[in-house]
Amino acid sequence: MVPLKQEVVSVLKLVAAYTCVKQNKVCSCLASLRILIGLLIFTALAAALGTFAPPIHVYDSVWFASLLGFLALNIIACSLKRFPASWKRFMAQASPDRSDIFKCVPPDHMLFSTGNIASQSAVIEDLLLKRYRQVRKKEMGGNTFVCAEKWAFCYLGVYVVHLGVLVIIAGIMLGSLFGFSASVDIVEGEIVDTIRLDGDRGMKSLDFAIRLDRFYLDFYDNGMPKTYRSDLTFQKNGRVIYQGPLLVNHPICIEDILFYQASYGMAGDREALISIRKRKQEIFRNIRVGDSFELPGGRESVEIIRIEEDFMRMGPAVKVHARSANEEAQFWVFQYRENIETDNPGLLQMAPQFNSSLFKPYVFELKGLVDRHYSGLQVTHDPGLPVVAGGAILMMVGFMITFCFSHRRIWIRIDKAEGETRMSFAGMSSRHPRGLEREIRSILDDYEKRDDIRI
Amino acid sequence: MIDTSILSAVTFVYFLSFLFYFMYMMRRKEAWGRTANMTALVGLVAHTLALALRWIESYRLGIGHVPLSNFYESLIFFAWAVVFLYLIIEWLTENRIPGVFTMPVAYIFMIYASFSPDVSNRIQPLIPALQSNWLIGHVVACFMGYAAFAIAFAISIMYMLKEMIGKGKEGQSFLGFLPAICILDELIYQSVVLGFTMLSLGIITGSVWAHNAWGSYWNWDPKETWSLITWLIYAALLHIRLIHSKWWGRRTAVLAIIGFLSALFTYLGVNYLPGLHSYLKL
Repeated sequence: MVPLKQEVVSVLKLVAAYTCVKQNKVCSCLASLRILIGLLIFTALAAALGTFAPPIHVYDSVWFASLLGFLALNIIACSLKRFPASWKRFMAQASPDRSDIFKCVPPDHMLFSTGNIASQSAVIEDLLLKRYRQVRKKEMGGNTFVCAEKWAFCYLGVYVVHLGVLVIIAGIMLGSLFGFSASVDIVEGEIVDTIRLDGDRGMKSLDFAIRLDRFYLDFYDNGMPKTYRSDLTFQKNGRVIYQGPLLVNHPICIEDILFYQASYGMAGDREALISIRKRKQEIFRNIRVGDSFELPGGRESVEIIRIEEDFMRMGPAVKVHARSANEEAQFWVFQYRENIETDNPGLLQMAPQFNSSLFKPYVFELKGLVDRHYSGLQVTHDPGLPVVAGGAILMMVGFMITFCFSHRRIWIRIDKAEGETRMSFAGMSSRHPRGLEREIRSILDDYEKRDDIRI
Repeated sequence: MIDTSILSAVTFVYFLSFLFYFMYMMRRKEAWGRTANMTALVGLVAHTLALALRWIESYRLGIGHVPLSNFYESLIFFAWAVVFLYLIIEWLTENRIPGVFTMPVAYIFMIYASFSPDVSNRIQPLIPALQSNWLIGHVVACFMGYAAFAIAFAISIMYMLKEMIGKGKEGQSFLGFLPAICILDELIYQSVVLGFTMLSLGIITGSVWAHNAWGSYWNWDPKETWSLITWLIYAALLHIRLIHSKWWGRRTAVLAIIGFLSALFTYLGVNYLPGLHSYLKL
């Protein structure tokens, strides 16, 4: 058994060595900035392609997703590769005695004083402590060096940005895995409890029901739309859990599901309001095609055959079929009965199918057509949302750290020159040299207010 | 309307400022530079006043909203942002030469807004989708981004002129008046940094708004997609700096030019593609 075991071990070693080499290659390739730039530009091109060729589904394709995945891997690899160096720079403390940076101090960055080195270095330390938390001092060869620094954390900002980007990508994935987006059309007065998932993914039933009480539409004087509003009632087990208006830009959230006002339209089946009179007694009723109902007393019934917006150019009309045990009648009921009679005298009396008093003793009257709207709601559930929002905040914080702050270091050498004490100011900035220049200037200005100073 | 007549005057003032910047570049007399700067500043103040008047006017019409809601207003604001940012950059960098190349950008957009027959300068009410508190933040961030990219574009043109034509001919033509290559490169980078931050902010505020209005923070609407494309191009530009100093310079300038074209397409071209962001339709 021993030789076999040795063989296995040696094979494993070989595999390990091989994959190690491979991995290193893969790693160094992944961590390449050139690859990153290539990926960024390639992703941009792919996204552009998607806007010009809508039939090709670029954004939900596997290859686009893998492009983004590769980009994410590249960001991770590059960040891991570069982070140690940045961390070192963040942790490093500037040493006070750096003679190299004093080689070409411009004359306006020098001050002369009659005071001695020790007193001047104390003054400088005081001045610097107003601006910097940490000031270091060192004496060397009779000269004193003072140095101070701030905002070294700016080296880490870029990692916050990249972390933000990765968190956003993670949030998007979370949302696409566990979230859904759907839509539902509700006709005024109706209740629904199922929604249609986007992308032909079938229906989904909700734990609660939604009723559209009313849909409002408002226009400006010039005809532009002003308001779309759906008055909704959410019910669960017969109890109202929420009631309120849904407006564009103001979604409603019920049990982690968001509802949006997305569209509207006219419901296919028209509704009409009719009145039915029997001597002194009058009832009103909202009717739709196909409705059938009993008249008071229960001996007669009525069925609605048709509802027309403009029947034979005589305006809105409803065709009614009324029946009792021994009688049956079908006739049209018009809304603008008086107008029709003045325009065509006798027409309504001549044709029994136009006589709304045909079914005695009832008199039918059409009060008007009720246009029913439907409201189209967008319905979404996205558990990745807070993650994406967090990523976006991280990204912006990272930008602030990276772009608004620069690592500023200031060195001041105090030595003797021409019998006076000379102070030379030098500085370094990781970014914004002008910001540093302004800071040095303002320190110099503060200093120059002292009377023992000659510029 | 008083605001549109002020804006016509501002257009002329910006042209005048461009002429003064041009004289400054040719003559290198500080007096010309200061005059150019003051002219641009006067134009900007009048421009701001006109925007404020338009805002007030919209309230008088009973449809009060910030003047950032249609194509005309966006063009006017874009020009405003270009001049505003340029003056800040001039103050920060103490370099007046880019004015020669930036003022025409503002001028062209003002001309387009004022004189194109396709652009209506009427104050219109807000449709329901635009009635949101995110309107100001989103539009201002995006246009500040576009404006910074326009400035980076103008400086990149200077860079290309200097590098392509001016090699070895320093001092012989006006190219000698342009700042040194490395200064131009730094100016491009700083403008892009500002624009990139603003564009990111614009995309994020836009996503929040889209989440509130359309039910999803990202819909792959053409404008969203093109803003992402622009973002990716500038992201590539920012990373070029990390590679090698040899990679700086021309590649940065080329990407800044491509990036601005992409930003312009995001702003204007996308209107010709079907999508949700159709508020700027001519």
